[in-house]
Amino acid sequence: MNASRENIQALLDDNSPERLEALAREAAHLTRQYFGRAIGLYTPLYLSNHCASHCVYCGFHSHHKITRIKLSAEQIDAELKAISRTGVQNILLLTGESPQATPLEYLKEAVTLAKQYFQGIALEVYPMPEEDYHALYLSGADGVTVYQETYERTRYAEVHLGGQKKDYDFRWGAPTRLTRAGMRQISLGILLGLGPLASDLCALYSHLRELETEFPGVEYSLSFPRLRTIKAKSFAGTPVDDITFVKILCLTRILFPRVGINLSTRESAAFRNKALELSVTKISVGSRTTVGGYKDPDNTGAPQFDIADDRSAAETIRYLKEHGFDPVFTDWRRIENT
Amino acid sequence: MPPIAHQTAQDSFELGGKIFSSRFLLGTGKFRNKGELKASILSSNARIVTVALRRIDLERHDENILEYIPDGVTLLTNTSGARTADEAIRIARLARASGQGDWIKVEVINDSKYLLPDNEETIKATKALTAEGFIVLPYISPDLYVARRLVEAGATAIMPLGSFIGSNMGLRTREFIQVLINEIRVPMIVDAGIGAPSHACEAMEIGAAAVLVNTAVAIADNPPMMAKAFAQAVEAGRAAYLSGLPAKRPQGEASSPLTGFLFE
Amino acid sequence: MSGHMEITLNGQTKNIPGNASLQALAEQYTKEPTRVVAELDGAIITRDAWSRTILKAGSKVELVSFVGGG
Repeated sequence: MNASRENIQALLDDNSPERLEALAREAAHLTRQYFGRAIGLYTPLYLSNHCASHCVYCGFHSHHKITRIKLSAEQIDAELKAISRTGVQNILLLTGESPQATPLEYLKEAVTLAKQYFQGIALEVYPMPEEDYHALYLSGADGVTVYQETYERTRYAEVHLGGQKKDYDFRWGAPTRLTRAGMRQISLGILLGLGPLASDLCALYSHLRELETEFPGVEYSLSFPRLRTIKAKSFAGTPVDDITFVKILCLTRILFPRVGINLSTRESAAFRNKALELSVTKISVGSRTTVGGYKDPDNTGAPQFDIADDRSAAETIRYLKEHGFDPVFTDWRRIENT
Repeated sequence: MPPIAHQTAQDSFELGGKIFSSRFLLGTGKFRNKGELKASILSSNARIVTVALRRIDLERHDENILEYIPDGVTLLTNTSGARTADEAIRIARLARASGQGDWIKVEVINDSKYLLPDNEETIKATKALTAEGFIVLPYISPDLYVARRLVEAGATAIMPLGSFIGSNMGLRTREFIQVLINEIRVPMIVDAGIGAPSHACEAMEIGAAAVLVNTAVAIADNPPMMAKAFAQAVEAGRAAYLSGLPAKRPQGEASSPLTGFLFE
Repeated sequence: MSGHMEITLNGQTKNIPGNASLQALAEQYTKEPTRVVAELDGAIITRDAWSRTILKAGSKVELVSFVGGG
């Protein structure tokens, strides 16, 4: 299928349940063919909610009056230990956009601490120069997640009002810098509901195609976080409904049979369970989106987004096993990155 | 996988800085007589033909094949006979010294049973020859890593084989050629094993830039007519590709509905 | 008056007059020197140099030209 903006819009406009079912079957078939029923597991750990950027849709943005927390090395260690007890072997370390509060050295230390407990270490942090990514790679990070949020420049400028995140091109160039820095896993995405949907999907797919062609040795995955309420404050985007979301998940699989598709706990347990049968191959489990929050779940601050699937890691893993899925804790054994 | 690209209004075949009006290349070996060769070039409007270099026959003063190749047709000299990169380089330099042009098809074969090319020696020869300013079209067994290295080495196009030279077996390497078409940015000119116009059409349908045929034309009962048929097949396949062939869909598995939950 | 000498031409041993030029040799074997490329002891000799290239005993000459090929 030619993934032009027009074709994508036509799919989004198509209301036929039969055609949706056919699309889903094709996506499910491809997912089984290339991934079996393996589902990769990871848990996110927010290290800090300090942020110097003003993204109007985010719970952590610089103008929100929330308590700014940054975990110390001891606290990071305690959180990592708590998470690793669930059996999860892949950790995603997140921060807000603040190179001042959480500079490279801080991140390197966090990665070094994570190496004690986890085989796979990924980061979702502010975009940085290639040499900084390389330093993180040498410290032991294997992957980075960086979402463009929206590829539409005008919209991008409307919703990113301050800080480094205003720089569209610097963010757009992050995946290229990551591959040059040696990162083996890169996750791209758009925030559904933020920008014009068909255009954003088309642009995301084009971006990934270019990267795949130029940097074929990298393992790519895609995420489609849906704009959610943040502690009951809703944001004026155009919410993407479940039917549309399913179309996106299926279309992505058909266009990219071998690319990972990630679904976080922004989505409800019920929806995630169904999505696993379609095209999703990677999920977060037992998540907290507050800073820390694993060692002391009751003593937490403001979350970045509300969690809709609050099953524990153990509950999710049990669900997967009971439904014939193959929960994958370790895809890679870590070796020293050089 | 179909390309994410939009149709261009005009389909021009550009290679080595020149524009060619045909995507059908003709090899000049194995013809019963040179008259049939000339007629085949004319009937098919082939704009690029391959030739080889050999020691002249000291006993007979043969007519030179160049007499039978119309003016304006680009000569692509192959390095047939070379078993190593060094031999291919030597042949290329001889070809250039003839003053007939710089276009070289690197063909390094050290296998008389299957006539399969030595991909590694081909890469070496390509690197050396592009450095000397030749326009190089290497002939290989389709391999993604080899193709990438050839692009790095400066190849103008790549010529992946469809099947064994002279076998007329068609596109046995179809899926691997498809990978190269998908992933490599230089033109793919499918060569070897194209036994029928339908094979040539198929190669163009999957996105090849051009096709080279020799044996199937040269040994046909009526070579000029066969050459024309091939040229027409190449055009048809190219038009089909540009029009966007519908992809074949896998059959779904019978199971409970996947999307019923959205409408409950 | 120079005698004859042996050279190798296209792999064959040939007896030619001493001090023969490459030009003279080529003319013996081809009607169209313009279509022929000459190599002497592994080096390509351009056509404008054929007349002044004098062969020695044991010279290895290759005369090649285009033929049909795939």
